[in-house]
Amino acid sequence: MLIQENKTPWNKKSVVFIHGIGRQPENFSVPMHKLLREVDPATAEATRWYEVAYDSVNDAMEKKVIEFRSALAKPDGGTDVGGLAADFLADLINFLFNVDPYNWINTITKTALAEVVEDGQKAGVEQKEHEVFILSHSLGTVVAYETLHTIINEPQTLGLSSNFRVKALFTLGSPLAFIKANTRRIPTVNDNFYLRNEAIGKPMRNNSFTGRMQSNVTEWYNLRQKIDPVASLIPLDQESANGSLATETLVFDKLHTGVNPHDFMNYLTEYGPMIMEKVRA
Amino acid sequence: MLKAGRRFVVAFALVFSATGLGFAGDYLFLSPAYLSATKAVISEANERAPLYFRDPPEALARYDNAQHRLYEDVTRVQRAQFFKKVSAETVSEVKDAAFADALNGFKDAINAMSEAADQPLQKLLPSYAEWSRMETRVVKAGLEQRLSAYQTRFGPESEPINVLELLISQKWLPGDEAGPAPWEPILRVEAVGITTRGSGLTSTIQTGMNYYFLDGKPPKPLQWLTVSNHVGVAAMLQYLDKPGVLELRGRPSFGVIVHLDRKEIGVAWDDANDRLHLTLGYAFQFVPMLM
Repeated sequence: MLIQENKTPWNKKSVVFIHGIGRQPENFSVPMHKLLREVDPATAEATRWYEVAYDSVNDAMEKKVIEFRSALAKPDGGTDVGGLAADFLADLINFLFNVDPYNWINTITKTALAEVVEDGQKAGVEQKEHEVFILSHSLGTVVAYETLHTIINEPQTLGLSSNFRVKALFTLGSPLAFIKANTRRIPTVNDNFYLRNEAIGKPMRNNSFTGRMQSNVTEWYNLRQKIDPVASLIPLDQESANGSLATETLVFDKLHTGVNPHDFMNYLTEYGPMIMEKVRA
Repeated sequence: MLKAGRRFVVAFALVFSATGLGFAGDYLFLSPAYLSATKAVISEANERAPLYFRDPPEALARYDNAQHRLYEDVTRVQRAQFFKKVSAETVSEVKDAAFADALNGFKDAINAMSEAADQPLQKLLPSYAEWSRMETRVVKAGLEQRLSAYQTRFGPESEPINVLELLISQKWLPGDEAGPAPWEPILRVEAVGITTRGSGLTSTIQTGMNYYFLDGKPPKPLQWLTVSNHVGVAAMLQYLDKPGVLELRGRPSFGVIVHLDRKEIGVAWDDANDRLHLTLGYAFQFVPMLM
């Protein structure tokens, strides 16, 4: 979903936010876009900004299995730790354990990426010249990872043969290495989960004409806050990513936005300049 | 009764075999207009290929093989549309690994041609830009159809299910990349229903299947019955000696219950009184996650 169209002539670049666990309604990424715009207004205004919001899936699944859940929640409207924990668990189970919510969330992500492509084509830009960047956070890094692996062989629009590529994939506060290391301990009924079935790495495809192996991710940057429990229990680094990262994981220790080291905004405050530099380049 | 049971087993086996195909990322969105546009691009690429695939000499042969495979597949699907009168809707989403492979192969070949010519594809092949735009439109419409199917299957109009039903549906009746499966098991204790016997309230144990209309179009007769989301049928067990909420004791009475969206209507045979009793219900959870 488009959250901010380019205000100055389009630089043929599109940035897509993919959120993590927790309540992330539509337009969750507006403050994030604002923060990055402050870092580099000229680039931000020439770029198109999109987001993938998939909380509707978690809400629907939760309601289907736990009808009248709201009747059980605390009515005070304040921070409900139990409710947050339940959301956290429900989101994890939905994506990691089940088949349909996994496919549903992937379909939402694919639809958003197809919209990115379509907008480029409407502007007369061939997909090969269209630079797409993904900023994913927390469970969103797993969503991005799975979707990019799913689409690479697609014969239409989002496949590599249709020239859909992500110029830079940013994974912020990512549990990819944790999930991979605990694959056997995390139950699932989904047999088609790339992170579980294959070694961590960029999606790869064999070009049938040239015989060359190619990826739909040009550069992959992983960012980690030192005490972020989601990203640091088992950190993703060059070794666990099998050398797929463009540079070794970038690690910081500051808390810019409060006590939550895992906060998406905390990451963007620290690495906003670096991210915008990559978008500008 | 035995015959009906056997039919149910056969239907169940069919569902299992259909859903057991798994997914391999070979789904295509193939509208008739897209197929024609594909042939136009193949024809333009064929004209230019000898110019750009001179070196190495086998490159032209590889290109020719790639275009030939795709041309044959497009023709095959067009023929199927023509002779079998396949509607545009039914060919909009096709699981066809060979076709997907051929399309990928052709695209790899024209990308190589673009590199050899040092020109973008939309300059090299005049029909390419429109073909790509049409492809994206078709893909996007297909993805949106899938999202709508998920909404039908799991949205607020669908039936709430317990943890056991969720597990069974995700383990043995899951959908795939192309969307959710239309079948959902019913295996529950429904705490509250209305019966024509005794106190008027009863609980029922149900086992059966729901079928969701993922295209959003139930058959006309069901629409007249105001069905818009799903129908289901389940074997039903009630205890009608002294019926009441969760009074699951006494002589069992068996019957059948039909689900029309979340509304339910059923009949159970009351052995003691030698007569049928009507049951009305509405699918909701009395105890979250369980029943």
